[in-house]
Amino acid sequence: MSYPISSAGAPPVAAPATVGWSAAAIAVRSILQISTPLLLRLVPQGHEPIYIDFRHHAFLWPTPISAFPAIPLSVDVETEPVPEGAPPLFDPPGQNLDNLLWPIGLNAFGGQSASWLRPNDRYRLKRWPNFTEMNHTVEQMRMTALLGTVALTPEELADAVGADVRVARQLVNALSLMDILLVSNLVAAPAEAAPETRATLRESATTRDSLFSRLRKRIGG
Amino acid sequence: MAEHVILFAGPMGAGKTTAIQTLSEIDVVLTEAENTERDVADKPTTTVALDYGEITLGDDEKVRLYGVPGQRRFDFMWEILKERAIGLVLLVNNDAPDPVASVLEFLEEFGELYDRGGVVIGISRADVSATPTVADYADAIAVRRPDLVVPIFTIDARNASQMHMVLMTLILNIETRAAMKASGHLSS
Amino acid sequence: MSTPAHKNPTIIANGIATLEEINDLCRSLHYAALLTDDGFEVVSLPGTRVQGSRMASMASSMQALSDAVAREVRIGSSEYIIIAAEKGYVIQLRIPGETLVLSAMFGDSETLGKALSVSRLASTKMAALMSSATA
Repeated sequence: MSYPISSAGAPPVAAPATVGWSAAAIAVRSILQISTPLLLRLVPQGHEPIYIDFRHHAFLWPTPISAFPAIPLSVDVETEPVPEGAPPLFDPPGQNLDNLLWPIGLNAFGGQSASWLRPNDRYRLKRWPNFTEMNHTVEQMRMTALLGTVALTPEELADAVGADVRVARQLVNALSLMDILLVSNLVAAPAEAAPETRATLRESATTRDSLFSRLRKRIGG
Repeated sequence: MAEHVILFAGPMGAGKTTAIQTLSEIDVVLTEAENTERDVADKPTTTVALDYGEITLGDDEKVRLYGVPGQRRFDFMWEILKERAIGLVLLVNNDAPDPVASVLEFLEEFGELYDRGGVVIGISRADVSATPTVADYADAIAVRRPDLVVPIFTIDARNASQMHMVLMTLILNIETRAAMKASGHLSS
Repeated sequence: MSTPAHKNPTIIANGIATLEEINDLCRSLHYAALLTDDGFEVVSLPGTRVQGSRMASMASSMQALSDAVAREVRIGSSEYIIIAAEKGYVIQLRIPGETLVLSAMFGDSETLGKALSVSRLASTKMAALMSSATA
């Protein structure tokens, strides 16, 4: 199968190769914020190209997502405008773009917050990621469940589940890249995010005596 | 004996009986009858009372899995079993005529379970019909119930790993909300 | 695909005849219906005040649950169900060889024995009518 990038319209704009997925994440984020339809080609070093057609929220990549390279040496990023009415880049439906944005978001920025996120912003979940199609940890599930209930900064989130703050930042990066987070306007911490509340939540999350822990022990995961 | 009752609901043919069979550690108690509505769901039998399965967590603790019939004419069973449940797994098949409407209808019907505990939605047969997408369901729910953030997953009811994840997400959600309520910061 | 029982005119006609015989034999009969295994009413005794469609669904659930219990404790097939209440009885049993159920409600002036006997006779007769209709 050939995956042509159409030669019609403006020539592709190649960004300089960078280490890791950060530039790719920034490119994806930028494209998702604008209304101009664009195609994106990502080439992790040593891997087949990934083609993203944002019009259909889909991507095409012969490599199984389970073989996603977490720390590639470089990722070439190329964008190209899509002429109006152009056919899909590949046979629909392709793969759901969320399934690619998840590992990109988790692995970009080296445990720091994504460059588009502002310090002290609080985030709340707009919708859950489709975890049956994404590799995830129990800790990520806990944090996601918490964000479904209350708006938190990544630091508050880490504190509330007793996790490393880098893990919380990675999750927020991924969810933000997938555009499934709401940004809270609150300047001060709401009562729900107060230290004593977080302590209560942390105790609940880390206890070995919860129904969740007992169920997990029984059926695994 | 501590029992935790989980309800499986959703329209006919969504995979409720199969999901319970996948999760249950015992042979599931089935109440199947010959299906005379083959035009609605092309399967030979349908549940007419309840399915029952269970997971044993300890000498005195079980998770009880109850599946209710999907047809509205059996809604008296919904009422009977709703009262005892702490959470709901709502299953819908993506290739049904209007699965989003079904989800909204069942969320309305079982709304008290969300208020009291938790809900997780499983979309079956998404491999057969790619639309509606998970985002479509979430958007429709957000319009009707902006206060609800319900986990929505594509599932195969025969897949043990996926069904385990669905059940664990439900319990996790229930406990997270309970912890928030206990801290006084969640009114519903 | 064959016509479902609740839409089959022959079955409906046979059902009416059967229910009318019960009514003739037991003046205390308040309600009777034939229903499909999956809860559709085939026919009910005309004039009853019971909400037929709902009763059919409930009877179907009860039948399935009783079958499940009988299977679970390994005592063979469920033959009939009796609900004995303060003001009467509900008796329910399968039509032999068919995916149909007879459900009948009697007042407390009827003896349980007669109510059960009449119901069993009716179900046997209905089975015979079904059998001769397909012969």
